[in-house]
Amino acid sequence: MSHTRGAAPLVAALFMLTVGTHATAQTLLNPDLSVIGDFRAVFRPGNAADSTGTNEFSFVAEEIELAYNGYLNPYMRADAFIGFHIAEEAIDVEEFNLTVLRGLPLSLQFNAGRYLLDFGKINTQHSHQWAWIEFPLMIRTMLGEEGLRTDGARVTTLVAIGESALGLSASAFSSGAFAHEHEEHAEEEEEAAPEIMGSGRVSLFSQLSETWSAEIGGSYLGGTYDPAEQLGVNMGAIDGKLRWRPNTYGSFVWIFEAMSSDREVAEEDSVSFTVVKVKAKGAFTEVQYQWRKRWDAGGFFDWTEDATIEDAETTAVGAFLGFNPVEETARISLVYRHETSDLYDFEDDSVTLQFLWSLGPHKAHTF
Amino acid sequence: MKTTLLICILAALLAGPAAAKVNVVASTTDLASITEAVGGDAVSVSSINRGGNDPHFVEVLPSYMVRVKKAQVYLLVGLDLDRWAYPIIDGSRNGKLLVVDCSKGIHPLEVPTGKTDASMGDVHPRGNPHYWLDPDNGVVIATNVADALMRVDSENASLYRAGLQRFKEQLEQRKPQWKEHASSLAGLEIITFHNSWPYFARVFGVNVVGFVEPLPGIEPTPSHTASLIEMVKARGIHIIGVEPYFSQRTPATIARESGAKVIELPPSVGGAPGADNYFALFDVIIDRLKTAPR
Repeated sequence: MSHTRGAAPLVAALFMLTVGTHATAQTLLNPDLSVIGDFRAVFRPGNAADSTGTNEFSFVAEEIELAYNGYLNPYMRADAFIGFHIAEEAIDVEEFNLTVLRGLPLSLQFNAGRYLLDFGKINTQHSHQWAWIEFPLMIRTMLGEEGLRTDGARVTTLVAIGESALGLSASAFSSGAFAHEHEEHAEEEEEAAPEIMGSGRVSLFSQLSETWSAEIGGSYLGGTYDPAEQLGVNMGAIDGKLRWRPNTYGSFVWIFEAMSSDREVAEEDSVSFTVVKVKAKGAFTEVQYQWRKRWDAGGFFDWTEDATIEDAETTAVGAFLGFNPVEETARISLVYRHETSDLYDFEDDSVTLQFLWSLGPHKAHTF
Repeated sequence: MKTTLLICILAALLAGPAAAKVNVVASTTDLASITEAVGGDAVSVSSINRGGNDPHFVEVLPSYMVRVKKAQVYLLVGLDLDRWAYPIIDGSRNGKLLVVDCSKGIHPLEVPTGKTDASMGDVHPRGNPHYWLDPDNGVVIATNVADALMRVDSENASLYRAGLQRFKEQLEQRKPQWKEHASSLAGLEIITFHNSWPYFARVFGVNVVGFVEPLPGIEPTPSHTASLIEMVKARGIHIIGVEPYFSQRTPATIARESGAKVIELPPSVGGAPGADNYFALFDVIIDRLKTAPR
């Protein structure tokens, strides 16, 4: 306590100094502010509505995402994304992180805070980048219902190999966010201090010709994800993307991603507690063709084994048609999805009309 | 013999590597072409956007980042045309990169007044960014480029000063030729797909009276197209100029209904055969306007 009292004047002085120093800059140089809205109309035929316990037709205010992005100084930027999940009446700090962009040796960039873990390629992207709308099944079961956002620190670098780009990254992050985003699990995990997990990714991007480019990647993730029960997990992923873009408004893109998971799972009953290992695999692939400035279409195949229950599979196939009325400010997608699961014994058919809009500068995305 | 060999090796080591070229990456082919003219053999230049592609939209690729990582200078068009360049620059991790906004010193046209928002289309709050299509602005760009090259390679400052002077002289020599060649274009009324041409039109007296886009960046609508057809008929307009990256469907409809002709007008170096450098770009644009069927 005396230590806190002793430090208080220093902390207060530093706070005042910080506020005093930056007040003018903060006023003059506001960050980029963006709002991304995701609203959907979903239709399920009678059988599918019955088996999934939903209405045949429903409007879903899926999410409002607020993005605050900007430079702190010439070397650092900060990004914060806050998601309002309207249907669930929940607010979620999806990302908030500080990035040291330049000035570090070996062309390193350092990232600390909460960020989308670069395990695989799809998990690094915001869902509004996807024409297929839903998180791939393997990500939902292996990483979490809305992917894996971790609290930790990451270093990345980019190495030039001729005209190609070799990307390397390594993360250390808290096990708290892994796999379980549901409140009941979070409460259980509070009993034990989170452990530090690790992941790494290597990717190679090549411009094959003026119009063709390709990227391949490999990722690893491992550690103790459940500190209370000392349960571990080892996961691997490979991914690839092939793109043909003959002009600004025409393209063909093929992506694939596969994951494997080897996870320790606790099986409890009234008298015993055993740990079993569940091995699971999953794969996702999509093709997308843009033939005019505003129109694109494609299809996807999505399959996974459950990461925590043996011999349980879920498969989905679908197709989509996308219309971008005005540049990147809005997108209307019509998505058909057929999903079967032997875990929950249902067949789900859905047709979703998604209205996605973006207010503000948060539009440009990397390959 | 051994001594001679040793002396040769030592001399080679002391001489060091051949003078390295200044590595420059530009957002567009126009800036790259001007840099080549100013820097000559002392620079190595590449462009992110290709001449035939829309400079408003460029996908951010890791290969661009590694290219910028190796560069000493990055040239921006500025005026919010190439905002896509910032994630490329950040992704390059290049702490020594000199980023130059080539719009510094130009007098932008069509700077909006009052409230500016997306209801006005893809409007640029700081003015129309297609400024390189005025040869006088080419001099401003070249001056910005020369200043940047002298900052990163002061040893060759005299070379860049000479390159800038040579570029200015060439432009001064070509401007009257272009004006003479384009004299018959004075007062010519045309419509274009996008508002890419105010700088060019001001210099050469062309009168752009309408756009296929109802607002900048907004796709043609049936009602706007119908009104354009009426206007083209009423004013006897013969030319619909289309940038090479836009669809010719609507322009072709307007042409079919009105009797005008669609011609492709390249606003950037590399956007058409023959438009191989900044000077040739003006030759091609003027030639296409002059030889368009009337």
